[in-house]
Amino acid sequence: MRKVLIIDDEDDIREVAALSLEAVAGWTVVTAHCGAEGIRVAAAEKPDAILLDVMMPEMDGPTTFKNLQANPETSHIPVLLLTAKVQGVDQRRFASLGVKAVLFKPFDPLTLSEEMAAVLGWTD
Amino acid sequence: MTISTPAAKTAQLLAVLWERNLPVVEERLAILESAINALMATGELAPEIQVDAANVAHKLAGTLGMFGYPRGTDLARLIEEVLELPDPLTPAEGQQLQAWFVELKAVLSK
Repeated sequence: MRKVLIIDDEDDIREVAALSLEAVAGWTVVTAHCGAEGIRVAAAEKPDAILLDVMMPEMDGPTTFKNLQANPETSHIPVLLLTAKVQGVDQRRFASLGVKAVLFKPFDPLTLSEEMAAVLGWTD
Repeated sequence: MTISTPAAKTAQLLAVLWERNLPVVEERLAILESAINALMATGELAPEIQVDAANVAHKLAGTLGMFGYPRGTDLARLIEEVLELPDPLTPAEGQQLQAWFVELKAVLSK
């Protein structure tokens, strides 16, 4: 069974994303409410993918991603950025970080897992 | 009640989450309303209040659509974009913010 780590400081986003991935796709979900916690959970849980919010206090998504990449235990885990920024300049900046994909808020809870699976090449 | 599909189960749980998160949404709307009222009353907005208002507009833009309020996301995004303008806001921009905010509250009350 697939395991996904959701890192987002907003409770409602974490809850809806977790609901979506668990109920629609049947994946296991673990969550973290900030970048620092996300880095710890990623190393401990070894998820198959990470859904990472961009705008978070203290450690933002891009900084969290760089820390994940710097750790051999987590550097192989594909990361999908989640952002409400829709302007092209922001999209290009995020895509250039080396993440697997950039997904946009608000997402459709009924299709989020499909979108993630397509990006990640998960066909099972 | 029997829940037959994952989609139906998700939709039902989403409704529960929306109800649970309403106080947060209302708190964010109150911050926006306070900022817009201040702007309309004084013709200016303290930078820290403008930043806070832009942040809550950003959060509303990122969440309302997933709860079935795509127009709410559009309106919150329009409000966010104006609040992020680098120059002091004009009276016309204040009136536009107010109009969008009124529509946003109407959308969410349906």
